[in-house]
Amino acid sequence: MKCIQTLAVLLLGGLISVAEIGAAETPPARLDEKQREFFKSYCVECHNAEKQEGKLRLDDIAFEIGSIELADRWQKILNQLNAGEMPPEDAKQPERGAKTEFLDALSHTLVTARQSLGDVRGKITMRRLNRREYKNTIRDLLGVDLRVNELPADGGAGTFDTVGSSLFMSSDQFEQYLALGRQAIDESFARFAPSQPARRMHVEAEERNARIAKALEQRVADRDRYVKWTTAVDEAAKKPENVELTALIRDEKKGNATHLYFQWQRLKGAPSPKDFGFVDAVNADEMGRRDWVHYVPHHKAYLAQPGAKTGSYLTFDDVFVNPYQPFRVPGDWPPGDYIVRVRIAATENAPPARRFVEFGSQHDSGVRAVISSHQITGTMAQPQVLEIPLKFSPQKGHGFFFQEKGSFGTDVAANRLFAEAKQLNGIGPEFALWLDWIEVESAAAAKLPVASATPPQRMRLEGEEASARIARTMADRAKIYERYLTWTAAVDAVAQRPENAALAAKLRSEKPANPADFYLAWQKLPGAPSPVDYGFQDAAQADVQGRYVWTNNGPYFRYYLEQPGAKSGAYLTIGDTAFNPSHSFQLPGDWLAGDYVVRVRMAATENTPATRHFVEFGSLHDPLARGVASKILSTHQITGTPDKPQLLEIPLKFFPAEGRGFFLREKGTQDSEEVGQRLVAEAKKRNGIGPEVALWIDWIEVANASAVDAIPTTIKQRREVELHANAMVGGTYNGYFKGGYEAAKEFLATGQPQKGIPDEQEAKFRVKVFQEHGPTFTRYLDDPLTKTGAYLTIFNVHPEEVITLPPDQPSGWLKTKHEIEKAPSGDYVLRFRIGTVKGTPKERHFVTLGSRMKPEEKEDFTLMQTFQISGTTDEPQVIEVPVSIIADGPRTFVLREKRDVKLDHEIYTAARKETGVGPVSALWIDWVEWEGPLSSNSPRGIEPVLFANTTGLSERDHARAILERFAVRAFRDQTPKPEYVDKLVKLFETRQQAGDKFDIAIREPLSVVLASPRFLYLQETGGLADAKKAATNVSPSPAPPVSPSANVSLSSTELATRLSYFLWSAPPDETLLALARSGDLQRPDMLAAQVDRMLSHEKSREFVQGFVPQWLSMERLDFFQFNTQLFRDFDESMKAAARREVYETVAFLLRENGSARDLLKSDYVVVNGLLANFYGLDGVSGDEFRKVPLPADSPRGGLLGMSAIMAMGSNGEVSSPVERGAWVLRKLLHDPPPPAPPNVPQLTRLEGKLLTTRERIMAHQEQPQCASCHRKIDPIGFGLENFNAVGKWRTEDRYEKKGVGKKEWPIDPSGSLHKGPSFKTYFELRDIIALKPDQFSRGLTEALIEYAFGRPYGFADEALATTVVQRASQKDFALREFIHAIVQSQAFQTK
Amino acid sequence: MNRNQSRRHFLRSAGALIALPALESLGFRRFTSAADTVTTRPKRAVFLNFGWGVTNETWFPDLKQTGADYALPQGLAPLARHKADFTVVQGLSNKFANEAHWGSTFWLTGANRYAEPGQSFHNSISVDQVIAAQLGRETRFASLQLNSPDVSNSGHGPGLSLAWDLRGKPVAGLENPVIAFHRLFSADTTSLAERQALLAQKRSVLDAVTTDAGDLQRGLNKTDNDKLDEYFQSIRDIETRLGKDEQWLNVPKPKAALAEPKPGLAGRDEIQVMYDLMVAALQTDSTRVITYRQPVGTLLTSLGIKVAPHDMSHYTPGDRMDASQKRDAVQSELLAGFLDKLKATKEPDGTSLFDHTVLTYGSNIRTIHYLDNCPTLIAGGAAGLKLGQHVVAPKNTPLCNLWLTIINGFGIKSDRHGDSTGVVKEILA
Repeated sequence: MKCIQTLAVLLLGGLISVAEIGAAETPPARLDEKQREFFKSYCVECHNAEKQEGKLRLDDIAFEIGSIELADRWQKILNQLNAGEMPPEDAKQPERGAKTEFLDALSHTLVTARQSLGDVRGKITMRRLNRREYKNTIRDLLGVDLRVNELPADGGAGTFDTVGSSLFMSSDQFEQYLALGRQAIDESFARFAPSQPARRMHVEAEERNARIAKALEQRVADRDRYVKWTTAVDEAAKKPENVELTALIRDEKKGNATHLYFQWQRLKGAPSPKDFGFVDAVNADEMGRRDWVHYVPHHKAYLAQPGAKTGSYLTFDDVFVNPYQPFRVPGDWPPGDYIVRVRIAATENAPPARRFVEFGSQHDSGVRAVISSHQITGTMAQPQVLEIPLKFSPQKGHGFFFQEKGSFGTDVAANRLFAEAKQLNGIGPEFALWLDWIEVESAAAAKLPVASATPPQRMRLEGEEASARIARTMADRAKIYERYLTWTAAVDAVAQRPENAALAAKLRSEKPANPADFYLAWQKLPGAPSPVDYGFQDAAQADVQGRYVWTNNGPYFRYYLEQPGAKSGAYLTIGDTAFNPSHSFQLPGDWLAGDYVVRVRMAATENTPATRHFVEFGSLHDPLARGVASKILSTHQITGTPDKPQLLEIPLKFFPAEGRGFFLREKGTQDSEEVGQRLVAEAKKRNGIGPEVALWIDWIEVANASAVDAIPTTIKQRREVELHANAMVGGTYNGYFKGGYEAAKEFLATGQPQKGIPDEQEAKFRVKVFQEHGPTFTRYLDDPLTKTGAYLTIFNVHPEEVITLPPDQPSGWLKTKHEIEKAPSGDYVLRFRIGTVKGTPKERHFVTLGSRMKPEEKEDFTLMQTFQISGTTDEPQVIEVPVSIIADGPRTFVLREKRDVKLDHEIYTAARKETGVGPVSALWIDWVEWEGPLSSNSPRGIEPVLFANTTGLSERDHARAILERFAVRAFRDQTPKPEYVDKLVKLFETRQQAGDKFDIAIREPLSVVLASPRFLYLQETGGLADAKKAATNVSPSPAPPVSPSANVSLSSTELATRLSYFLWSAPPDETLLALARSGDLQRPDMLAAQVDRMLSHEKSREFVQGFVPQWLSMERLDFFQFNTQLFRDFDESMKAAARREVYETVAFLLRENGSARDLLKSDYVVVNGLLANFYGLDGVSGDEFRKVPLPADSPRGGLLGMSAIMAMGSNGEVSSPVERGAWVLRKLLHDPPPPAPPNVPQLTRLEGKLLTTRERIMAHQEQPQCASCHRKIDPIGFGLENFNAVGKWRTEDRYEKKGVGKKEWPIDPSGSLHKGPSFKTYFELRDIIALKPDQFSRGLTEALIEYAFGRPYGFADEALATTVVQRASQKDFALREFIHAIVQSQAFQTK
Repeated sequence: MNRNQSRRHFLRSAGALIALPALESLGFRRFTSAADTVTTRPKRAVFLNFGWGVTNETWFPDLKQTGADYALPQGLAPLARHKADFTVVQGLSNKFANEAHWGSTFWLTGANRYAEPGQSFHNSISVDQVIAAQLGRETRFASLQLNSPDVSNSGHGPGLSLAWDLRGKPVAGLENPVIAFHRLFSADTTSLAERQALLAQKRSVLDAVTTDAGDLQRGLNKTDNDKLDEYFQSIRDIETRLGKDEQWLNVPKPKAALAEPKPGLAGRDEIQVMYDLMVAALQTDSTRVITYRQPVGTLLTSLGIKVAPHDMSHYTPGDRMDASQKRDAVQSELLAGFLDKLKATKEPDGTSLFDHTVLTYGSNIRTIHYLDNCPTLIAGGAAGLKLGQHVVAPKNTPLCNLWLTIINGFGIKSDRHGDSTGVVKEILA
């Protein structure tokens, strides 16, 4: 090969450094002198100085092709020869073999000439980020996944998409970058930017009750004084000197006992009310008697109400017993939209007319106005939270209130109501409304100016972690028990010895109550083994730890773990601490005191008494004391069910001094130790196991106020699919089919047009379609499983199920009630519960999930993933898929049985012909749900700290600081010029002057950063730019360009960037940048360690998916549509899986550092269940790709055995030996044939003939212009003929043509390579190829060099390629070795 | 505001800035009869390319029947009513073309992909841009590039539209009829002051990124500088556009003679609406140069053809060939409709748009993977070409000779385009 020849020369030359080669002239392409004779006799004879046929002279043309003009001339000659136009028919014709040789030589020489003339001499052009890299860079920078489809695709001109010279820029593209950048910034703000800590106030209603209690206390004291005073007056009245007068006074107002006291002054020695703290007698009477009678029964009744400890009641107009509940909004709150929340309930006996509350404002002057009234449906057992939007304006006053409707209608009315009630019950109106708390919160935190004091803090604990601990404990204890059993078995064995039998019997009879006690006496048995040998301390410990603990707790352990929620959460138990009787958690040590919210997603189990559906929340005094609760903070009723868990929100005022530990437990189970023990004992007696679990916890989340506001609450919405499905299927059936049928019948009977049946033709049609399709619909509707779920059918009825996020709706007959109007951007998870139908074939047990932009368009389906279903309708499985939702991205996700829907009608019709109904469904779905947005692990976008203006900067300086820091990050650790930042700041100011708020105004300049050249281009100057800048100082004009021949070393940041885009197609992460800053990255050992780290990182997937398809020219897989009529199982899902096999195999080799030889031949494949099924490998199921060993006779293993590779070598219908052969030469044997010449005449003489593929292709080889290449290509292709167009194994092939006939033949794969060994079978061919790992590695290396350096492979790279292949071959071609060798090379570290 | 007053105001201000184009389109009647004698209607150029080639057997007229008296082959049959108004030219090709899937990359340029030492891809200016450099000065849009979302499926090859600029870099196109409609006819609802502020802001954005680019430029070598120059050039292009926007700032966009297209049109409907938009664009003199890179993949889908476009291009007798022929017929039908509209659209002087337009319709791919004898059809009276003919050019006539003929026909002095060797004398009237 030309490369090898060149190389040999270089190697002989010896000590030439890489740099020198780079500068050296590229070798010219030269047509071999051997061809001179042929050229002379067949071309020059006519085209010479004298004759100049066609005004063309060829006698002077040079054989060394050193210029583009010369190459073009030779190309023309080649084209003429290829087109069969030269030599002309009437001239002397060359012998076929000679012409073939000449064409072979000329076409190859021209390829070399093109390479040589187009060689970039090792020059790396600065390059723009390609589309993949741009997307990843935005992702890493802002945590946002953009759809970048609008950007033009890269690499169309036959080079890798990393090659800088082919990555162009246009004005439209620039504007797209601006727009996309803005979109990314907006998304990032929506997701991550922290807002001001929300304004929030919370008032516990019971605080009011203290006043009432105090008032009562006061009244009792007043009464006491009054009684003391009147007693003293009475005593004075009884004195002899007053007796007469007393009688007189009493007579003055008969029946009025108090008259005497008003007249106290007339009595001698009677004490003054002033001495008892009253103003005068009137005052004493009011306070001590009248108020006592009037108010105190009401006071007492109020405070005795069950809800008075945790809330307050609204009463009627009566200033001392809470006739209304006032509250004040703090004085410093800004005007704006707020939400008032009140937790409120109506009492059990409240009449319906009294279940209304009024909300109103109370001006500081005392003027009160009702704003709105609301009906209360909450009960004391389940109070409701009423939300009232409030437009707050400080000018209108800060006071607000709640009151019972009508309680303040007019004073008179209210007084009358009070009096009437009092007359009836001696107290007053019954208590009708109860308030738990009142809360006011700013409605849209985003509308407030940006600034953040406390960073958001948030933690989340999954319940299943606790369950997993229990599972581990159980496993441990089971092992101990097993040890105990081994020991006792050994003791038993000794006891059974004849010499011990009597003794053993005696020992056993001593403790008949507990047979296990026998083993405590093991020492008495001669020869019995010691429990110490079995890992116990002694027999007693063995008995307790080994036996008692297990027999006592084992069943309960098992019971716990068998519960349906144990995998996804934790249950609260009762009794033994190891069983999670108290679910406790700790807040992180660095969390500050303040207001937090504890959110618990939990449920009460079915079939447990409602009395057990209460949870206690409390704090642990001593954080180290396990499970010992010291203080119950609140108790909550749990109304959530396992199907619909509830979200319990508990506000928490957190003071670190009081401990960081908190707990949740079932109410009343730990009031004392005895309670727990009793409950356990009772349950054991009842069921032999222990108390049934009553409460389940999915997760616990704790967040402070700013985190709660910054990150939207996770919502989970499940939909039982049968509702929609049955409405739609039933509606179609009853409406169109059955309804139409009945109307048609009516028409045919009466001749009267009916609704939708205008004529006889339509009527007959409707009768027909009803008879045809009706049964398929009724079968669906009658199936019991459609009562609880929905089938996925083929063709009509119910061919797909959807998961929709608001505002999208499942199209059809019902509307889903979404909990929110629109799902915000963020990470979500989709779930669906699905099972296969018994008796259906396993190849139908795959479901595809796709996205749909327009919910109403059934055709719109973008395949996302395919899943193999192992669950059944009896035991369905739940599949979970993470998705990222963006503002203008799809929100409808579609589930279908895997297939090519184009064939549906055909399959349906065939089934109907055979059975009268459509094909049976293979898949059934129970429910679908979505959950999110989830707190994301991706980088937090623009760092929140950027927004903290804590040092009191002016807005302008603050904006400048943000922009500068963002630019440094976006520019991959390069600092922009101050002038640049100035201009960004100016943009910010312009926007601000135009009226934008800070956080809006800042977005324009931020998106400009994302369209700036330092972001869009990967520039490498080796720090030269800085040096030049210093030298030229402030040069206004651009510096003179640097000579291209100078090789400069990359700065360490540039190296980090090149490496990162090579292996991750993404910017360097913090680790790489830190190593770059310290300079450590340039150490070879560190560089190697980083390469290993990066290849092990998940992001290396980008390398595989970026490099592999380009290297192997896999775009051909999408050139043709596969005929699913012929290859029914090769649908889109299958094609995607086949493509992924190639990626996954390379990823596997990279991960395991396996040998590149495995790509030529291996005894394993890396497949998932779908592919294993396709390949006929048994025992593999599931969707993850994994290594699967192959039977010895398998054609699989290595690229040639992969469906995708073979499918690329077909036109979607028939295999193409030519494509396959050429591909093998290009990709595996590193011997690429010249490109297929255009304009070669077609063979017309074969038309209408029945030929085998081999015959047809061999006929082409008759022509020398074809033979020159095809003699090399075709034999390899024939050797692969055992693979059909989609890569399935076959032994026969056929050809059929209308009007010509058909032909079948057994496949003959035998052949021999051009000037090479022969083979009889595909297996022998594969072995021949597998023996050439050097050639294969050479091709791989050249591709890697082009991809990594971002320029076409050139002559300057020859030495490097040789070194890389050598280094790799010493390590048995380990895949990572190639990459290490390239990264360690000098070329990789210079430009 | 008084309507007449604003009109006068417009005339004063706009007239001072620019030559008043196509008053008819703005709803004016001709002022005086004197105008008739001075007005020469502007010339327009339209280039339509359909990627994959045509059906060799049924699209080309018989080589033996040349001149006006030739039988219209099956693939061109729908154009029968216009037979006297178009010419089919055979025998033209781009000699450097070598990529069998690139039906439009070099179609209007005739460039040699390998012409640049050290590069594996090179292109040069396309004929439409040569013409636009002259004709584009007087219109709101110097030229209009129309595209389809389906390009990747349609055998067009690299490029962002049919157009390539002076430096041989791709010029972007408008992706669908809705975007094109708004670009051409959407009235600005924002106030003049706001639009001025917006322009100023755009300039500030360009200013900021240029500052970064200028900073970056120091320390770059020659190659990198050339690369960065693409960035500078794109900024300059935007500046030019902004300058033009500014010039036209107080000239309201013309009212479209058609309604806003429905979103999501694909294939046949999409081409149809694009043709309508092109007529409207020419009629209102919004631009005088249009290229359109047509969809093929979605055209097939819209005709209910299940064969994939590339499969179709590899036709063998049977389904694939049927698809190819059906495609030919529908493309011809659509073109016939387009010609109808051009003829029906009257200019102020009573002539038709057709009389002042040169339209070329074709592809760089003949059929299957053949790059010679590019299918070529020309129509329209603008460049003084002979119509109603079947012309077979001498062997190896460069396609660029046709482009040069058109360039000259527009009165633009040039003696070369791409690899041209002269004009196509056979089509000169």
